[in-house]
Amino acid sequence: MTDVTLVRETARPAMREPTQWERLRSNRDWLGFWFMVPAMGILTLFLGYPLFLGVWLSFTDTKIGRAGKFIGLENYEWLLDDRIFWLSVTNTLIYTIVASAAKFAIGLYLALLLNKHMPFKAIIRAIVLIPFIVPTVLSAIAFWWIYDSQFSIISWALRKAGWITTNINFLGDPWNARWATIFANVWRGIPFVAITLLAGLQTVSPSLYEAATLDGASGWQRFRYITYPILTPIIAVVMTFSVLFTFTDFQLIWALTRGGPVNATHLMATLSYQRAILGGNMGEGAAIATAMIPFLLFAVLVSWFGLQRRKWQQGVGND
Amino acid sequence: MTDTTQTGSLVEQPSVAREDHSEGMEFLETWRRRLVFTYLPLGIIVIVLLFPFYWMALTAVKPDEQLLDMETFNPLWTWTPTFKHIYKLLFQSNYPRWLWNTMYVASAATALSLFASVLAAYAIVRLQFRGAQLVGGLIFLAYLVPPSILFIPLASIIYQYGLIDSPLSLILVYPTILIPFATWLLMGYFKSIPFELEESALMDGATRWQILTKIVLPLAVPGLISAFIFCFTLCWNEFIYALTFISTTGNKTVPVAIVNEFVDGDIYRWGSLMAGALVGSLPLVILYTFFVEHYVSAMTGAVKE
Repeated sequence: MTDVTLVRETARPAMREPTQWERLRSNRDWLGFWFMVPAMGILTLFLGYPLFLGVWLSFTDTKIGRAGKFIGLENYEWLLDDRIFWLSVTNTLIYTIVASAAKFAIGLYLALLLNKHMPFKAIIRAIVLIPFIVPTVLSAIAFWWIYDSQFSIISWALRKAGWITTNINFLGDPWNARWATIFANVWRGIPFVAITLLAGLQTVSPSLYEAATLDGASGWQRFRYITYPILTPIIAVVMTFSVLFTFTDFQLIWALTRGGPVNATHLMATLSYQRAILGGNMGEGAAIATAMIPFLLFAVLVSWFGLQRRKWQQGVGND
Repeated sequence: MTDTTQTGSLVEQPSVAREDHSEGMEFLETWRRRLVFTYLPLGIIVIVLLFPFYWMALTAVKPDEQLLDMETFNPLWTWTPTFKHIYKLLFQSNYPRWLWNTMYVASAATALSLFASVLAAYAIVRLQFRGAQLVGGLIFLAYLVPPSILFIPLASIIYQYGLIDSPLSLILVYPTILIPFATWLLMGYFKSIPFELEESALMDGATRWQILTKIVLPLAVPGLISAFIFCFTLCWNEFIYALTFISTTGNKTVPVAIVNEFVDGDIYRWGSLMAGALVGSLPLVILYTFFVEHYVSAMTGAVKE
């Protein structure tokens, strides 16, 4: 209090009106604008604009090295009659659904296992993440060698065990190749699902389990009525990302099979690369890429709202 | 510094909860049950997850004659490791060049993204300018746009700018993947910093820039480390843009070069392929071992937001 009175008694210079520039410098909107410039600049130039340009290219007959002209829906009409395109759509759907389901199931199981008390837990958790750290292409190369038609270690092991007599042609047979690529994708995706779900599990209060056990709940009931409901929001996010990245996968397929054998593992992304960059038909490739957008929106909406609704239902208690 | 550790512990709160949890009811399980239902499946999963790396490393050091002969030599082990493949890779191929390209592109793109993300995240969380929520939502949506649908139009844009086949094209394009992620991660960290600190700095006459560099950033160091290593890993991992934009052998990054340059007709190529994959993964694995916790918090933090 004494300080305040002291200040008041001393003569001080009259308060200067802030200049226009000073006002502007502390204006939130003005500052905010300039703070956002680098991020929004890059995102607009290299993400927003290409997104629209991609849709536009799909309505043109652009080739590499030649500007195209507007041809309406012709690219899409071509695709409708293109058996390889529909094969790639089917492949992408199988790949996404099977791989995402497997990643979810095994990832959740692994997260539950890792959530238990055990020695060296931190080290085990660190090891589990390694497939996620190593660049996909490099581990895909390792899988390529594991899937080799003559010198596959899996074939060798199965032959030694006496289960097969001839080597399995992993990447040469359509269905073998599909399962092989799905397995490699699941292998790569499990750590992400497991570690993020584990983080969710760690927020569940142990007293809930104790209370449920005292009430006679079985292990399954504890999971079904405590763990799963609490985990749904994080499951929704994790699976949305997982579905999204599986659907648009490119590098794993390109490193392992390049879409072969006879287009059996072509995903929409790999087919659009082949048509647009290797084949030079930018317009057609862009049409395939654009055709992925509705699927993506649908997948995101289903996994997002499907799982979110469960959360609301729990809120009103009818789940 | 004390404040830094405080925010650090704020972020890692779940690990405390985990310790509590584990004590719970585990004494009810017999060790036999634990062995069958916990350690056995966990062991199988860990072995499956690690086997490709073991196989990669083993192949990289196997002598050629043992590579393809599975009958006279046990394929799962070698008693005569050789560094021939790795030596060839490092001293008789373009590999060091590719490694340097990857490192250069990843560092530059990460630095650019972190700069843009720090400013954006601070503006969205603390400046609360008009439309901040909307911009935050847009940036999140940008995270959901996959490179697979952008590479064709981007290739034509990069071509128009005359950047095709230049590492600069990758440095400019990679941030589109990194900025959305890093911004959301940093927004979470910035929110956890007490607002009062900034208010008192404002009262003392600090400018926004001073607040950001002298108060917010030092407190958000764990978040910056998380964002940095995660962005760096994403860059290293990126494939489709590098494959599309770069065509000269000398400008390629490791993932693209391995797929395109090492695949020749040589039946003994597996040794050098695996050596290339191993050496290309090591920098990331080493980085990861030093920052496991930051890595995990980056992964989970971005998802929780």
